[in-house]
Amino acid sequence: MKKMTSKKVRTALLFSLKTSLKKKLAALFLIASVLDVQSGNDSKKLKTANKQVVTITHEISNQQKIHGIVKDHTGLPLIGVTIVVNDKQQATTTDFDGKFEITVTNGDVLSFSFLGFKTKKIKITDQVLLHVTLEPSTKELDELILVGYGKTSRNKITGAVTKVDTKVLQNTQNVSFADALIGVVPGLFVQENFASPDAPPSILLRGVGSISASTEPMIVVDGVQMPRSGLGAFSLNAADIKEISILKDAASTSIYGSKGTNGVIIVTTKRGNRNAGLQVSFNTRLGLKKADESFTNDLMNGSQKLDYEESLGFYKSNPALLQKRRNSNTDVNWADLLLKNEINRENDISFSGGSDKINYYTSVTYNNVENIFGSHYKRYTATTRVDFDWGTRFKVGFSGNFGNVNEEDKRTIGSPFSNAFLLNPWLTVFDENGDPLRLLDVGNSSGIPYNPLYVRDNTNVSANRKNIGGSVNLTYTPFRWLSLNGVLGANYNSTKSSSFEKVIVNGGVLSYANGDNNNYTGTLTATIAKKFKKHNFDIVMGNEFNEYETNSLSVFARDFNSDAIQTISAAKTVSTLSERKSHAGSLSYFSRLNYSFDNTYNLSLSCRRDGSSRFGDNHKYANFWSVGTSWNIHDDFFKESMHVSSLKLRASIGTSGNDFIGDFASQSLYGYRSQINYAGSAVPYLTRGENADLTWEKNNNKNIGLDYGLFRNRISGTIDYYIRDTKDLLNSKPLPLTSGFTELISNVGDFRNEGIEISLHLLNFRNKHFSWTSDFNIAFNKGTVLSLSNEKDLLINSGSTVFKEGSAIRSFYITDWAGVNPKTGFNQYRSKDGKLTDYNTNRTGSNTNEINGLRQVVNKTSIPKYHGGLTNTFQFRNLDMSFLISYAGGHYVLNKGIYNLYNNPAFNQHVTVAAAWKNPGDQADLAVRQVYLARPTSAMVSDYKASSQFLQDASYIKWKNITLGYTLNKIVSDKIGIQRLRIYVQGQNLLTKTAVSYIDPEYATASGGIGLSSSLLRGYSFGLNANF
Amino acid sequence: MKTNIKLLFAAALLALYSGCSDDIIHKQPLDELAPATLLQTESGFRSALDGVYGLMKQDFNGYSFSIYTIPEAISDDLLASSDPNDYSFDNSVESLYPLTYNSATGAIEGFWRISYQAIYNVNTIIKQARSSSLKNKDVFLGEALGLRALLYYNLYRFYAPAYNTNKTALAVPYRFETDALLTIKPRSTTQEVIGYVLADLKEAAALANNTVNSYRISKTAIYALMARVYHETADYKNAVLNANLALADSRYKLDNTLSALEKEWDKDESNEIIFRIRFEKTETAQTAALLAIPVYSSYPYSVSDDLLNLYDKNKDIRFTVYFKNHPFIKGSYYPKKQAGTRTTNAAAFDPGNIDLKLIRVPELYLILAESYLHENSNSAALTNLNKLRNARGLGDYSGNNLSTEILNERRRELAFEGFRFTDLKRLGLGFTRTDGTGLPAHADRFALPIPQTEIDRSGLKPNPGY
Repeated sequence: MKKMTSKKVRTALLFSLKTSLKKKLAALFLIASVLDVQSGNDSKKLKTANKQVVTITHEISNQQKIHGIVKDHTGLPLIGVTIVVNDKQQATTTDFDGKFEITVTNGDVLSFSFLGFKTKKIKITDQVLLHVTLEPSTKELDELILVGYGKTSRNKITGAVTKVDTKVLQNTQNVSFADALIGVVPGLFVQENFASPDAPPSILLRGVGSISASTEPMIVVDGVQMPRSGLGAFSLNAADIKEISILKDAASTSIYGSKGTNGVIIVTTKRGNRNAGLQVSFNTRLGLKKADESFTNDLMNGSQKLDYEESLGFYKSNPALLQKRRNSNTDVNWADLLLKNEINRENDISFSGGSDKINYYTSVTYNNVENIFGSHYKRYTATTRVDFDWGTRFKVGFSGNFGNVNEEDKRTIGSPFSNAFLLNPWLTVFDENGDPLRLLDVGNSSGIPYNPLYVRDNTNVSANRKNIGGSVNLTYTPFRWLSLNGVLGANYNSTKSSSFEKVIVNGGVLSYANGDNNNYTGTLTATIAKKFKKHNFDIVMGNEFNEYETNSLSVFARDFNSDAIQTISAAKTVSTLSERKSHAGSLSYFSRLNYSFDNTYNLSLSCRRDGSSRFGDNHKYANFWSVGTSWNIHDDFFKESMHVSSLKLRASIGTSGNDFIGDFASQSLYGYRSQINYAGSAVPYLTRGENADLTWEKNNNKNIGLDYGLFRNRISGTIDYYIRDTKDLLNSKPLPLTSGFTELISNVGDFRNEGIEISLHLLNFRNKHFSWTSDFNIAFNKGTVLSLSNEKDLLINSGSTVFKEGSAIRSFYITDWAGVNPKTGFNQYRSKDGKLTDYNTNRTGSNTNEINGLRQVVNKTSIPKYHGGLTNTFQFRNLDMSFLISYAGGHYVLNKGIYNLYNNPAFNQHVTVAAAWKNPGDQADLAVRQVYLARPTSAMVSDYKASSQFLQDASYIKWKNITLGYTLNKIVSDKIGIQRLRIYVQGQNLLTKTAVSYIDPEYATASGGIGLSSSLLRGYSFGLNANF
Repeated sequence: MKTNIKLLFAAALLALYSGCSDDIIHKQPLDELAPATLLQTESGFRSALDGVYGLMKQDFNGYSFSIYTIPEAISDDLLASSDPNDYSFDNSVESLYPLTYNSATGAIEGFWRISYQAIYNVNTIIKQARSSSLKNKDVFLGEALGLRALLYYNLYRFYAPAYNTNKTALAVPYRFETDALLTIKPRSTTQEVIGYVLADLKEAAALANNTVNSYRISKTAIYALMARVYHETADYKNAVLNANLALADSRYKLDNTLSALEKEWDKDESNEIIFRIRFEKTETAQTAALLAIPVYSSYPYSVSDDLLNLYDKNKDIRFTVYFKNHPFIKGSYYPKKQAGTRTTNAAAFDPGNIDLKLIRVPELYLILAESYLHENSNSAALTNLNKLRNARGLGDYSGNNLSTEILNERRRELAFEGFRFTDLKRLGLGFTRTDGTGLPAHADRFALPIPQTEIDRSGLKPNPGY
């Protein structure tokens, strides 16, 4: 009975909890159709509004144009102040000099509003020129900052929260907006990803807090949690973003409980202004990117390579072949053949506005990238947001996004980057007609591997990704002090990709994958704000559910009759067919109390209880809490000080967790995922052992911070010190083999990350025409493995880095290379006690096991010890310029690229390989090269890969970007009907200083490896912003 | 009053909203199955059992390569190639053949790991079957028990000295279906393990039936396996009994023509095969490259003269089926027996797969011959020996050393199937190869080392001599 009632109520409220996809989609459609209807109404109203304006201009004769300038209390012009006439009719904003002009009638009331300032109203009584000074809304520029489930003023904040200046979003030329976060947020280590045009960067906050679970922060957009696959799971255009906050410590992340462990990135998107006419903003950009090809200088040329092959004995049995190859006198530059220049374009346009009851924002974006591998990439996104008041107590907001990506990803065909390094320069690539040959010679044989150019020409590859997201937001304010808010958000993604290699290449190969996932979050919060004299209370109480579902199918099929039919069912052999499905859900209760006395002493308490389907039956629920406090020292001690303009001390302690552990990791189940077959049928087997005690990773955070401002805030910034302890880390624990498994997912250890983050904002110079500001930040982090449940075993998670009790997180586990033994020609490796051991690389006498045993955990890690950035921003009259230098250091990487350039004799090699050891007594830097003449393509090991020989300092400093812009004089732009017009040029990744050879150091992975994946990509672009 | 109503409404909203939470945080997997769910039906049992065979063979180190390459590399039927260009996929030439293997040797750890993984899976089936109410569950329980016996017997065979020579020596840990995942079991003695294996087989024989083909363990395979274990442990009376029970199955009989024998080894088609691990064409296991890889011109092993000299090259139809002239070394032969071409694609350098024929009819005749001899029934012994000889193109045995001849016939017939290693152990023999390597009789190295990983993780006692 009770169930029924609740069901009805929930359906009525659109908060459908049912898991069936149909119902979920129905809910989505409902949201979408409401949105449609609403936006339709809206445009009608809009038209009417416009007409009215027009009418007014014509009918009323006593109108006049007035000019003015808006300044802050220090006398500096304020840019972008909203000026509204009579609360509705007309609106404008101030320009770069703080100037405005607007048409008014005597008796009109102008209101001037700007974030962080008190709104000022002025009645027009014959003034022609207005000088307006806005006072800060509180003592200092006390802005509102996004925090979990609300906003709070900077003064009252107790946690470590960085508000990102969204102007930086203009500085990236990449599709993913998050690339703009590189080097600007203290403690947030962001690394560009070059895999695909819209691949989001990897993000790490305050060090590595997990072994096998995700280390990426959670992302919340407009109050809706995005899927855990992170930034790649939804399309959001930089131009649509209004605010970004990064939550870092317990006081701020604990309210997200089991999802807050890696920090939280909160994003809100732009909405239309109330009482504002139609505002149109248009941006366009055209860019060029170029891969650094200087690596080709270190590769052998045609004759060098043939000499080298001859010296290895490739041609002993066939000297004629060598002669033929020498005679052809070929010297191919594969980088030129395989890499192109990237051309990228971006256009976006947005429309916004509103009346006194409703506001809207809608935008469309188009990206087009032709990247260095010849890939084609197109993305459209469209968003619409509408908010309206429903009576005096209800506010309703709708938002909807749609994104569509079509991509032909040629990077996946014929490994263009590694082939640019490794293909032989003496090869004949084209036939007499100039078409690429099907087969390329290799080593001492001919015609075995396929020509990547040929394969690229004969492979159809396509991918499509769609993202639909939307939310409904309902706010009910029964009393001034109480507001109830409900948000239901949904996000749906579908991906489809297929690659068909034509029959002519190798009989026809199809790989096909599709997948979809959807994610629902529903949140109900009650917010109470009460003030008794100097006591200020803000209370948030809430309840949240989240459901997640994912499906995927992948097929690999071979042998086709014709290219004309590229379906799975036309394949003669389907070698892999794998379908996966999973789902998860969580249910949470949370509350937070902020208490503030006189804006000087602040206390915040939060708690959250999370239940999750991902955890073992013994641990279905967990509780998280935090306590934070802050003290405005300025108010008590420096109120009269001329030097100290603000000073606040913060401290917080609390917990959060990580539930990204796999949906059913605690159960022992028959798996059908990885194909095993018996007698022609796919058969299941038990994939893991049961661990009913499995529980989530827990974070215990402590943070002390100081916010300071000196000399009228000309120098300001924050300093934070944190200790982040992660307990019950999840990883596979080794099991006796007799148990039937080699490992069991368990809670195995504890980590500590501690560090300092410093940010410094300098207003170096500012007058009427020129201003110069600098923003500097640096973060130091030290990660240590406090304990591992099995002390004896190193945890080798992936790559060459390991976890070992007492050592730094992800320390390298490598041998100590001691050069080449001149007598034997073998590499020598030093053991702990200084003894040298030769690595016998002869095929039959190999002592690999012995050398394996010489690996030691060294005092070098793959995680940077420090990182940060320096941004300088200049403004001179109509010119603006900013540039960013980003850096990271103290970390290392094992360069597998170099290893490949030394150890693949049948492929092109580094020039120094020719000088490898040959005869006893040779003093050489490279050991004797091994080759297996029977099959030269199978790489023989001459060097031990996991050794200090290939370890490189991964520190880098990059001139990440520069933007130079010019804004047209308002007088000029007004004439062509444009409010603001700015043109700009940009550069990206212009200079890099690093010890990492050939590859962009940002490509180094957390597991400590780097391969022949991408060299530096320099970008240049120019563009235009227009508002009208 | 109005205020109270509003508050009440808000509170009610919250309360309703948070009700009925069970479906959110209690979810069942969608692409994986709990054992209790899978094993509710007969087809579930069938799939789960096939899953065990699938597991056993999915890795080089299990029942696709190591089941043969381990014993063959530790015997005197093969000689390793000295040409550095010859190689084997599983590296047995380098890791095992020189007889310097240790507790870290990959194949030795791998076979152990895969065997116990299969045992965990088969134990799960046994446990569910014992409490199942399905009508036909006994058949599956029987097959599962038979399979468990096979897995433990082979573990014993590799990691323990022969039962005949030492009944109290430590063999391998025996895990029952009732042992919990984290329970660590010590090593049982050879006698205990053989006892458990026979107990399983006896129970299995009573439950299983003969509806399954040679890809699975049938009732006949269980009798044959029981005959093998009794024979191995010198219980000749029971060996005879069970071998005869196995031979009573009319589906399986000796091939007696060259073309039939050729078909058996080249194409995996024969009525001699009672149980085999099946490999399909689509699989990439490349089991046809076990001991020789003609499509790569790689011959890691050649046949020892010792073995070659046992055959009557002209009459014995096995000779051309089992051996082929080495293409590069004159007068030398490579083992062709395990290099069938059913799925070979020479143009694509794909050696393809063969089925691993783990139980075959001729072994039963050899068990009968040897067992009858031990039971002093010489004529019965001779009859059974001759049945096999006749099928192989040879006349009746006329010599006077029946006992040696039976063992020679056993070596001839079962060459490259892993039996030589077990026979050397069982009979207390050593061997010396022409390249000088070898093991003396009763050498510790006849029992493989317990893998170091296992010793580290569960504190098992290592085998002596490593």
